[in-house]
Amino acid sequence: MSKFVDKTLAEIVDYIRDAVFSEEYAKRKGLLQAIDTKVKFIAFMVLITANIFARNVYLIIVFFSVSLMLAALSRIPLRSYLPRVLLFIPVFTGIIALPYIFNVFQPVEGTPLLVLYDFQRVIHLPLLRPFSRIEITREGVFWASTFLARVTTAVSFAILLMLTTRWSDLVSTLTALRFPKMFVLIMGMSYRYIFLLLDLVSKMLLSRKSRVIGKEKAVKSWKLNAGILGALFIKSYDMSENIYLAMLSRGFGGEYKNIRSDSRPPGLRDYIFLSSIIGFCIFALITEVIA
Amino acid sequence: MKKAIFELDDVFYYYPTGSEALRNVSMEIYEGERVAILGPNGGGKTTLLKILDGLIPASRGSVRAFGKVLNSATLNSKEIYEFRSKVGFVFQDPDIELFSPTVYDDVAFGPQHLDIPGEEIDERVERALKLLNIVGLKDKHPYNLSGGEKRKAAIAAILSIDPEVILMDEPTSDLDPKSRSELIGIIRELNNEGKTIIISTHDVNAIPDLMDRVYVLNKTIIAEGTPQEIFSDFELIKANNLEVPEIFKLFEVLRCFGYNCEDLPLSIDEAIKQLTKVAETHEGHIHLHIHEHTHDHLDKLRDRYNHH
Repeated sequence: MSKFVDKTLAEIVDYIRDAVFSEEYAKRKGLLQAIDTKVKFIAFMVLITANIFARNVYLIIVFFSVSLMLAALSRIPLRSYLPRVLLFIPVFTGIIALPYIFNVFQPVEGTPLLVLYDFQRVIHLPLLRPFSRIEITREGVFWASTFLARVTTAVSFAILLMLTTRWSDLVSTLTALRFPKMFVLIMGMSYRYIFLLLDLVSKMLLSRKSRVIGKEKAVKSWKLNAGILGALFIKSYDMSENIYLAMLSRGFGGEYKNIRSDSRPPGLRDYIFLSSIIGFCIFALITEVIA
Repeated sequence: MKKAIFELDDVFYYYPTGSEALRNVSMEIYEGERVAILGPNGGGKTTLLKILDGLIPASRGSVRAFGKVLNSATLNSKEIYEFRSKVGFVFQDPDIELFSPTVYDDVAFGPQHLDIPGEEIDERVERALKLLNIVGLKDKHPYNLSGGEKRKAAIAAILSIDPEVILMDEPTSDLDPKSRSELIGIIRELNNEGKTIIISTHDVNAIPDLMDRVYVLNKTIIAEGTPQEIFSDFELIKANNLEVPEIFKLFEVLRCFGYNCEDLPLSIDEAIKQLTKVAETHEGHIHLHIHEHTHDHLDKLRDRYNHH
């Protein structure tokens, strides 16, 4: 279990360091990198919203293909883009969606695909519909796969936006689009310090690893992990207090004033890009309704 | 007569847990001075700097800054913004100060919040970045900076406020030798521009180069004097777990070999000056020899500095 925690944290920290803060892909010359950040942000919001409204799994797959195509045109290698999209979030979403493929968790009787167990009598359990068999239903599988595809596609758009945009430009865009200043400040600070603290955790885990001889028992390992979490909590609490003092020291009086706002007007290319995205989304959703 | 910037009289500070951080602290700091606060870990140095920066009020006693009382009431009033534009505090951990998406935003944070007009903010930020030679870092995310770069960015974030007083908490800690010596140069330059510098530090080798006066703080003020006075008091140094500069130790060794001088130098510059003077008065020679007590004196010196 400890290995799992170690590996997961190391992966997250490495991912953030390489992909986000190094801004490796955001500096490349590609389609999305050349688009004005405000326009890009709106275009991705449109894509994510259209993806949420799409009810047909095939249409969601089309949206996902669009994200792959945009990634390729933005010179993001699919071998580093796809694992980020497909590994973390869909795995967790899969865990959430999994129970719904079984008839017992569905509000109405579905079409059975596979019967797992037949009780030969009606079972009554609190909060669940009475049932006599546990079966995987067609509707359940369809709903779970649609849900999974929708989340994966939304995540793929969000990751693509992050990969092709410098963090500072994204923050300026949020300010330019009139997001509340305090929200922008808190988001920026959370982003900055979560990864600083993650870095700290990975160092703590590494230092523990360097002093462990032989195989650790699971209970002992969890106790040590709990100690690390406790130390991290104290450190983050102390840090938050000092950050506030550092802000006060530089004149902060409760109201955040930020001059960084992206006020450059978008160009013709940006408008063409946004129009194409909006046009595609409208066309896709209308086609689905008609079909 | 120089104007007193800070006047502390019988100041106490208790943590919320009730434990004592500062006791009976009285001090005066004058305009344009360079003052070091030296003391062991947990001796209350950072707490004292926070009180001087008006971030926390003293639990007891009187704190006056620029002739005005600094207490809970003034810290929560609008008057405090005038004080904030005069005093800047560089925290020990630069990650505390660099919370914005880019270095530029962090450096601009102070002027923005002290209602400096827009065009002047840009000028101030550019000036601070140029002074610290970090113009190339302005669009970088603080996460991507090295330790030395972060420290410089944190100092630039304070310089853009253009304060009269700069407080620094352990500014040379965790820096590589090059960054450390650059920082010492910057601090000296800032003082030459007329800024009052107050530093809490463990870096005794930097003090002689930088500081006019030293306060030894271990919850209360143990001693106050010039670096020469403080480092020559061995009992004081030992009782407070402090160190003396390496140059000072070297000249103590030379003394065991018959080198004759009244005040031991504390820095390279002082050593050059003194050696030149001694050589000039002895026809270009410096005499060292082993006499009957040399080894005894050397043993005592080793014992004193725990060199076995």
